Amino acid sequence: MTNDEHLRARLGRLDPMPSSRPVDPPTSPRAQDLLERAMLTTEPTTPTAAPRRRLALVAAAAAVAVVGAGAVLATSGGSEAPRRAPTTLALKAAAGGGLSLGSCLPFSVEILKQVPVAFGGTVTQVSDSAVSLHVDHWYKGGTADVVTVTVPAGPSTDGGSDFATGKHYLVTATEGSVNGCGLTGEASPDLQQYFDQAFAP
Amino acid sequence: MSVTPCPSFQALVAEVYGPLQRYLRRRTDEDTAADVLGDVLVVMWRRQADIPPEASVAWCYGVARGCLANAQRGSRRHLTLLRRLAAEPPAEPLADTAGEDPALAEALQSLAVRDREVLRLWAWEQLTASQIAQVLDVTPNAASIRLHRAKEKLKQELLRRKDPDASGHPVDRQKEEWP
Repeated sequence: MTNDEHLRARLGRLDPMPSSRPVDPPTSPRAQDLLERAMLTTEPTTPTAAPRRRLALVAAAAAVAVVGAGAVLATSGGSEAPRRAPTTLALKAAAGGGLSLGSCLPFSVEILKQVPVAFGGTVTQVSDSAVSLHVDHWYKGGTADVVTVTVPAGPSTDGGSDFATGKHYLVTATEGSVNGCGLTGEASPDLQQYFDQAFAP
Repeated sequence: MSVTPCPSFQALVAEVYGPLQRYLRRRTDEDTAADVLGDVLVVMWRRQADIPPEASVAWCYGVARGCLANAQRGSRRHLTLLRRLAAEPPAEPLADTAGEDPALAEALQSLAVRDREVLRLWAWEQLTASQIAQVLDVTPNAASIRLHRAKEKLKQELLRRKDPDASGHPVDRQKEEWP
């Protein structure tokens, strides 16, 4: 052993967190929760590096008003740990994120069950660039009081926002994308029933 | 359908999740470490395209370093303090390891923060000079020089304390009896 190695080993004995001291494993629920939150509060800066997976489902619940198909969670703060102050979750509509009816699978409660983020909220404000919803109930995946969806500037895409002030919506999002395909929409008795079924405790 | 990151990102998280917790707990209290760990994962996720494949672990330590600095100078520290004052039980303190080797602990403590940190990264996180360079965002050459100097300074401090093993060898307690 060199002197350096001895010194390193000696310093190692002062380590307050040696490997013998257990830490939370990456497979723990807490780790999964932190990771999920990270993925929901932001999106990768280079989409090619981490292609967003949108739920490619539409059609069945076509009667339901569908919200901007490719909305993307954009800023942090929303679904953070309860100890944090920020209570706004921001969503940004992805440019060109249109609804292709042909790409949707038939709607089912089973699919709804699997979305990581679901809430009910009332639209409090609609502008050209953003929609704000006051969340009255989190079914899953968040704690924010307010969710904002920003719509890209410029010509509207076919996935444009369908939110109207004062109306109540049931919204889901997956990996940053607000889901269309009937998984998000103005609250109707049917959709409410699906949500209640899917997210029943 | 659940949120599913790409396998390489998942693998990286699995690799660094434990080491990052150790890194943070070595440098801050439990609450702050938990908060900052979440911040680090957010940055990793957002900037995954920037993560150098050949130095991904060190890159993550560098992010943790930045997030921790932010947390420590930000308002969160204030909030944490308020919360603690309010009622929450204090986080469990880490065992004081200075008793393991008081001379070395004292010598380490007497160094400048910069020197101390480079030694910790070397001995505790077990990083190489080039990994330390990545963490500290300096050139490998600069990191190597910094590490070398820090070791020399530590040895000097041990000498000043008449540590019988200024070269880094473990102290033999019996020899201490014989000046």
